[in-house]
Amino acid sequence: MRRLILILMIAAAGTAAAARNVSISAYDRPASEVFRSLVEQTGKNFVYSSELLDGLNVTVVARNEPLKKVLRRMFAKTDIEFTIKGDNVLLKRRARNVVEPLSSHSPDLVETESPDLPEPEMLGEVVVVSRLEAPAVNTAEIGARKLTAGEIASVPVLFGEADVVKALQMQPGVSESSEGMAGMHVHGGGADENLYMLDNVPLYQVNHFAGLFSAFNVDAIRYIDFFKSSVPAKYDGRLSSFLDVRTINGSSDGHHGSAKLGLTSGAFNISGPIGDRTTYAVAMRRSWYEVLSVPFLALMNSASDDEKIRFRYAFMDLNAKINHRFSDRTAASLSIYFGNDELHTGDKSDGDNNTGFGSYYDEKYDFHWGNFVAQLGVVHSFSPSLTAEFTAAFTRYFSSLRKDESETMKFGEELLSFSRLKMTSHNNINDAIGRADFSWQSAGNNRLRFGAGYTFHSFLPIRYRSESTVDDVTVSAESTNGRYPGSELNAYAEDEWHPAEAVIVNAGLHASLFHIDGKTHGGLSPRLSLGWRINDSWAVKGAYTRTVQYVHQLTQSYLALPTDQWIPITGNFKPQTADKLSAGVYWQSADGNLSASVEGYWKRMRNLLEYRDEFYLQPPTEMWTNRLTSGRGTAKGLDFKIEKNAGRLSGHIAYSLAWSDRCFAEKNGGRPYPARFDNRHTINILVNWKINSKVALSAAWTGHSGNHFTLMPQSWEGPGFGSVYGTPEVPLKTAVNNYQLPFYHRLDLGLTVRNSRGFWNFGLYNAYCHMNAIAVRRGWKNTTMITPDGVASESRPIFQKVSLLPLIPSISYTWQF
Amino acid sequence: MAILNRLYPLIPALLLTGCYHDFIPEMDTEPVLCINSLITAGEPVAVELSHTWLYTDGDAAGGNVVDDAAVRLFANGIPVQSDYIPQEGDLIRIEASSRRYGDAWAEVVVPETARATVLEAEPRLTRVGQYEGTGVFAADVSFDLQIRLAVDDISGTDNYFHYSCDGCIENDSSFADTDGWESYFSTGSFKYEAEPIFAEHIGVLESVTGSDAWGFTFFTDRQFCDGRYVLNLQYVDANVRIVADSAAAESLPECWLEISLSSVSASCYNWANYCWQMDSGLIGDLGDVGLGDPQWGYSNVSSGAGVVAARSKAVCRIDLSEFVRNALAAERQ
Repeated sequence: MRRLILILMIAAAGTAAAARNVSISAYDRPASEVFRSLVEQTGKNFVYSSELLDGLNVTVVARNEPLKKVLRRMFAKTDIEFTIKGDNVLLKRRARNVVEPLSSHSPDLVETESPDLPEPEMLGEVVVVSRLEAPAVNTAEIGARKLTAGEIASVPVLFGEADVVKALQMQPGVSESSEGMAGMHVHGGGADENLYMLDNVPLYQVNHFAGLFSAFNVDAIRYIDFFKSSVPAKYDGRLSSFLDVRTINGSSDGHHGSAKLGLTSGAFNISGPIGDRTTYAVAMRRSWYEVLSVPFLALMNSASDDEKIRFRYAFMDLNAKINHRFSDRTAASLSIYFGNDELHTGDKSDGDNNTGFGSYYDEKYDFHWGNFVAQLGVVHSFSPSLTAEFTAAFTRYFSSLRKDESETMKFGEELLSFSRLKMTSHNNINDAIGRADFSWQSAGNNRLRFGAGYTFHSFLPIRYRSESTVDDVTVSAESTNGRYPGSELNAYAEDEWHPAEAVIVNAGLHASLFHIDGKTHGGLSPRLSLGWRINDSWAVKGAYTRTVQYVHQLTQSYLALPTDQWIPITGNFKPQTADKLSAGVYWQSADGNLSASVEGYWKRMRNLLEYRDEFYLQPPTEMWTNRLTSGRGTAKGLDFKIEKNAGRLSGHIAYSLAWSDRCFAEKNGGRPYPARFDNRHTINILVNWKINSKVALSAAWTGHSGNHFTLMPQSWEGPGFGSVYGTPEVPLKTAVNNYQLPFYHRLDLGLTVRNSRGFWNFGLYNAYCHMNAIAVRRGWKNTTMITPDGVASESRPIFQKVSLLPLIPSISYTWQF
Repeated sequence: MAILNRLYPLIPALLLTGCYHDFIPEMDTEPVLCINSLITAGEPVAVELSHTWLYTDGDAAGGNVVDDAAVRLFANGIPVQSDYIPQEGDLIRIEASSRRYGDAWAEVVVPETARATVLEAEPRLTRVGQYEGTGVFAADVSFDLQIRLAVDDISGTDNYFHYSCDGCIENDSSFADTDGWESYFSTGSFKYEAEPIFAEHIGVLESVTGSDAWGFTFFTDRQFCDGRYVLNLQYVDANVRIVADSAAAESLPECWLEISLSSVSASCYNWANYCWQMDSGLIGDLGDVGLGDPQWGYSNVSSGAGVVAARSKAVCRIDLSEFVRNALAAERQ
């Protein structure tokens, strides 16, 4: 049976997409590989049946020539013809198909959402798939992953809010930070050791709603690049992983978009052409809790004469991008991102009790935090083999908190007392970035990437002011911590070399200088990865990666809160570093539909920063360095993955066997202890089943050894010392993370039902409602007994496992136009 | 409509429905000795000895008494008897050993006494009420009081202080047996928020979520300028009730405010801070529900249980007798 597979190559270099002319130099290379280069340069989708390119190698050399001309030359001696329609390049045979043996160069296929397909009548049995990345057996990369927006959306998640980070949590070696939250811990690393980028520009705060959702609107995403083991030399600055979210380019063949309404938010996106040379794309998402909370509070407040409660929370994000083609060799893009969370809450009471005495209380809390990114990118082709991308960007994280509380006592019109407490706190980071990245393709088997960049950082870890007024006396206090300007200079070079047909070597170096607070820190991050393709189906790889991190996030909770601070390396602390050795064995089936891999890693982290024991006893007026301790950590493990990436039934099974520990001088008495995410076994199963062209079912099951937790089984009686707290019962110090929570497991389900105008999405989070323990607390058990003397009650101390999220259904509708 | 007040908490509950399941962790534990002591310069040392217990066993009254322990006291490295009177600058070491609970020890330096100077004490009369009968005079004088108290730093780099205050009044014992006929001095409501230094231990996260410094009058010298800090102390609705045999000025009792400024050891400050953090801060709550690291109790004892602290007190007196007499005299006119 002939099975048609549509190969949609919707990858690639954001700003390059607008350039219509291409440059390429390929000698007897697989056609599918050449397409990837064309996709990167043009942004077009290539649509063809699976067997069309089997075993087809092409030779083509072009220097800044129109795509049509290049394709014509590529297929001149074949029976393949092509048609360019809008953003799609449709390939088919001129004559009747001849089935040829499957080749080792069959593409790696990954299922995704259905695109706007040209001429559907010729497709027969349509299974829509996309291919974004080269098959793992063909590259030297270890632990790298590309995901399309469609793949991200196919992972069922809490509230049905498709999320990049939650989709990545299904990958082996990636743990969720806290149940339901969009944070991640990669290969035993910390939550702040992942570099999140939007079109290669760093974002510091990537969460909405305390971390329940990530700041990336899937409607605005074209694809993501994720690296957790071997890392391209271009990236550095975090220890554990690098996530580059690439946003969509505007459509050149008309105005298209969609509107979505879900349980938690609504979203709208539209894109299209502006003339011949320019396209635009806009995507916006906003929560709509106020629709519920505002009328509900109005009703509630109307029921209370004295007390009025205020509460309003909203988050929004906006992505906008304009691409423009100046000439055949030069294209540019201008994009902005604005993500914003706002929480306004408070309480107002009028305690006039008709006796003449009046007590008036008014408190307001206003929290406002988010990110702003503006980016200008220019891509210029100096020659067919040398392309450059110049980027100027500004990224800002901001957090502003205000509290205003007042209390007035009156007797009639006479003012008896008045007090007011005003507090403001600001925390922000401004980065101005300039960068140039070059790519040079030699006539031989080398591809050289190199570049340099400069970032001017301006950190304001915290600035607060409080003003207290009691009657007519006002006293104010202000923090003395100021702004920390810093400069970061980096340069990198990386060569991908094929010394033999079956061997790939990728060697690079990233060098950086970070100057702050009168000190200059330097970092050299060598990278090396080797790939050897043993035969058509098997490959082995090995890599060494060093990463350096100059900034660190301080947070007191597992939630993402606006009070979290990003701070630079200051004082006597040194930059954090990680050295990672990794190796893997890869297999893929002859048709490319099945693949399997085993990847092992060993990572040593130095100069890690962590809150020291009893850090909270240091007043916040102290420098943050006094609250921290420096130490080391190790992580090692094996990641197994079996993946089926085409057909009606697709998905993966991933298993991780891992160890991770930490050792800090001023924590746990200097003794090593298991990391919180020292999850020995983790299993993630993701299944996507396209029942028919209208209905698709997805299921994600995750199970892992419980997180480690500090449980203090003993108590002692604290001294009174005449305090207002009496003689409290106090937990006795114990080893850190001495208790492992029970095995965690959860099933999430998603159902997509399409109609002519869009699709419904139904979700069930924690479908079998397993109440997973996320912590242990000290509680009390109350027992009521019937005794001969009557009813007696007894209360005794007991440990309790804390569970958070039960079964949570969700529904959304997306209208496409 | 009262039902609406109950529905409101259900909104977040729908989002994050927490629930608890009882269990007993299987962990090996060994009880250890706990030493508590607050050493005051110029006073004999008192030590409270107890042992730790398994949380689930509960703290049965008196159930944590240690009956086989020996306690030894050292001053500046030399063993001393229990009647030893510690002085400023003494390094006091307390050692305890028990066959059943093992050994424990702690050391603390008795801090230097701080110097406190009342720069200003301004009472502001708010209400006066009085009653005069045969052989008895009763009056209520209510006022607000604003005090500026200068605190001079002591030697050393990290110093800690504690402010406290008592209203004192002479009591005429002839009225002691009569209910309600007793002189007293209530300092009223102390405005913790009027002095920002009492909130220096409060982080932004706590501040913006409504935590305040109520009950906390410890502070450090981190915000001292040129070795001095002036505390702004405000009392609202302080009240002096006078019961005397006549309204004659000479028969009215003396009343005064006794201000104590103690310089305290780091362990004393840390203990108070820990108590505040667990009681009024967020860090304890976050750990309790699995959204933050759980925190154990602060201790400077080798076993991890107990606090050995020291203090030296400076006492100032603000005499309010004249103010009260003048207020009553003015009222009678």
